[in-house]
Amino acid sequence: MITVLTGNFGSGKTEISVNLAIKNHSTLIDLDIVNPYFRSRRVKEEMEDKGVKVILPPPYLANSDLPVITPEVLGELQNPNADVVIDVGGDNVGAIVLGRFSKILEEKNAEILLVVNPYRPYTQNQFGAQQILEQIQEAARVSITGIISNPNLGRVTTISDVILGHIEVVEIAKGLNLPIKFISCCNDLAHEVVYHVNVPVVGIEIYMLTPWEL
Amino acid sequence: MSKRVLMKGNEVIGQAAIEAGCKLFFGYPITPSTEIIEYLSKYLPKAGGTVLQAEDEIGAINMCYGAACTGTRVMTASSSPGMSLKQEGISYCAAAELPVVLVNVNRTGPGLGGLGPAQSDYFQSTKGGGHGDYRLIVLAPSKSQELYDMTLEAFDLAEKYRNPVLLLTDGFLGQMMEPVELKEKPASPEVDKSWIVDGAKGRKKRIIASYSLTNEIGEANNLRWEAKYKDIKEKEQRWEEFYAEDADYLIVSYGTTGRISKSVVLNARKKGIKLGLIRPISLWPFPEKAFIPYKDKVKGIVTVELNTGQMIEDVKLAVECKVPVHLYRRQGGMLPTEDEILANVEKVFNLASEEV
Amino acid sequence: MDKVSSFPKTLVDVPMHYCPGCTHGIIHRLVAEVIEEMEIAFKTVGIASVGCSCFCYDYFNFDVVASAHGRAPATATGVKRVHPECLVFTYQGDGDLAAIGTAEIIHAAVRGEKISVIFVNNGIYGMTGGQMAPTTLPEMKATTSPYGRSTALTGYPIKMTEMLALQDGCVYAERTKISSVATINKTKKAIRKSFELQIAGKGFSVVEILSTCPTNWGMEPLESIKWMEENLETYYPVGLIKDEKEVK
Repeated sequence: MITVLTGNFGSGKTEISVNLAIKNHSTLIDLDIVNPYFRSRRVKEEMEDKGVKVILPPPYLANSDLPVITPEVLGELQNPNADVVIDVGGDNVGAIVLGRFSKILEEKNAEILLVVNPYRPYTQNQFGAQQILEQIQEAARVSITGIISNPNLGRVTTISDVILGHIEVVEIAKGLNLPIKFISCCNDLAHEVVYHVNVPVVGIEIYMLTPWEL
Repeated sequence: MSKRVLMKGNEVIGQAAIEAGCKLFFGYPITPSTEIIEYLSKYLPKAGGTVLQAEDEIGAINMCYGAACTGTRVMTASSSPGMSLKQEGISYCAAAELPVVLVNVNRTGPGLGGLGPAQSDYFQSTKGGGHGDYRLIVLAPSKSQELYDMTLEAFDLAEKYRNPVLLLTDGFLGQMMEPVELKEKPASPEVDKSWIVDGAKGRKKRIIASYSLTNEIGEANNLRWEAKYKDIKEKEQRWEEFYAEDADYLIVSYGTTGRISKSVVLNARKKGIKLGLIRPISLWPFPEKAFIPYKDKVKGIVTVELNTGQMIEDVKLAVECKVPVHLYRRQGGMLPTEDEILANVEKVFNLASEEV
Repeated sequence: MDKVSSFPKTLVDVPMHYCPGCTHGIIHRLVAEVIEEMEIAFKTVGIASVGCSCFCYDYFNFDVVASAHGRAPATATGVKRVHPECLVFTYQGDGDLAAIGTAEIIHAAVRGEKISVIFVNNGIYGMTGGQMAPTTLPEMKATTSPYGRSTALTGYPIKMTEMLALQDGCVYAERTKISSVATINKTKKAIRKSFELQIAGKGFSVVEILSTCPTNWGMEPLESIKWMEENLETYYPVGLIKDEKEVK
């Protein structure tokens, strides 16, 4: 199973990718070549301790903004038993790198998911989400197969933010004619969110912490 | 309409510039500031503006110079090495008294440095940077909401004083995601535009220039600028105090480290240490006034900086060296943790024994 | 009797600071006359550069912005992007345009920036006192090439206008000279063409004008015109370099 997470900058791809990989003991491929801050490579060791294989550019490039893709990425995707989560950079800018893997992703029937946070400007409605979706599909040369609903306002998110935001995402998904695969929210809200939504709920532990949260 | 959204620091700056009525943006990509030009490339044209990617930073700042001569709101953004390239043009903007808004998403240095957060451009930002004796108004936000509010304000300040205004942030603030309230900008105050050039239709010609070969005129210009800087110094000092009133010891820190230091203060208070924080918001003018009530009162000060000790000089001047001032710093893209800052405060002031 | 000539309103009637025999004064007047004849002074913004002509803003009777050394095309870009209806031109010497301002001028042409460039080339730095320029001829003496320009040490004179003409964004490039009534008239025609193309919304254009520097060349005015035609012109032939029709 290959799962690819795309979306606009700051939609929550990295947090969800890291959590999915840890939960399912999958391999995590960090293809975020755009943003040298808050990338999954920041928590590589922690993930490896939890049984996740992490594929990254070599360590000396870990803090660079050089768009380096290692040969290991294709190798992992070619593996017949591949169980992979791919964390892609934000927007069409970050999604371009997928174009280089578009054929194999299609062959392997990869799930290409669009992470939607309705509290991000420009994915607040169907029009904005449609634009992001089209731009990503064009840049990545793949078709989006589903949506991850990720309504949040960062650390200060309340239960009502999640539920009200999810209602927006349901509308957006309907308009885009795409299924919502699951909703993600903080672990401490997840147990309550399940009573209010009719899609699977994936609780998330926050790994990308700021220095005043460490 | 005011709405709360989750945004990345650099996007916030771009969005605030659009809201402020910025019509032109000239820039050149450099990490970690690039999202500003990318964001504006997408959204400024929709608001009737233009984004032009210049051949280099020198081109970009001189395009700003030209656009500002027409009285139009204009901005450029870069990161440390790029800001070095802009300095010549910034000096010309200061001399021609042009309202240009500048953003420096400070990365590490010297040289090409790295992409991590830093405050190593404090001297460059507050003491001139380019040649000649000029000052920029320098604002240092420490969270996304301030990035928004201060970007809006920067355009007004630049026009009010006809002076370039620099928003000094760092890679961490630029990349961090936080909820922001996108407030509508209140109407800007009316400003004098009798100096702009746009074709001398029905009026006498105007010249915008900074060349002067008559020393007497040169000195008169310098005195006029000096008076303006004095006025700004009097009116525009900004800072935040946090548990400072009854403090025995103060941390002085701005931007990202200013924010970390808030938690340090809270942790110290839990331990019974009377620690407070002064967070400079305007770096120039430096908030000397903030120190007046404390310079005869507190036992010591620690500045927390991401450089080899730059702001500490202004703090020492502000307290007239009446208080011991120490430095705690990290460099090269590293950020200090709350614990290491507090441990350092305890160490330099020998406070371990005072713990309750 | 009809008045056939008068002092243009687009020039301020003050003595210019240029040395006797310098052609800046003539070129200023040509620019001013064209603007007056086209009746566009009310929407003209000139961009002065750094060099002998830096005080042209005292002589032109319309809005002028003085730019940093070499940066005039970038400053012009800023003005023109705000006021596309304005006539925006830069007035630059060969040190300004061909040395320190190379990046700005090339990229203004590359972008097809709708500005006009008046490029005055006399093969030497006038303002700072006769130093070698990128346009200084081989073997030509200057204070920083006291034994004559050595091509082994400093390379060859740069052909800026040819280089600019190569860019698709450049719609018109011509080299003229100031040496006689006929060449003065030709230069005026070239300036007019450049300004008209800009007002018509076409792209970047440049008029390079071969000029003299009697003071720093150490020659009599007439002698220097002769030297310009016999030397500068052989390296920099006058004529049309790129015509509007060539533009697709």
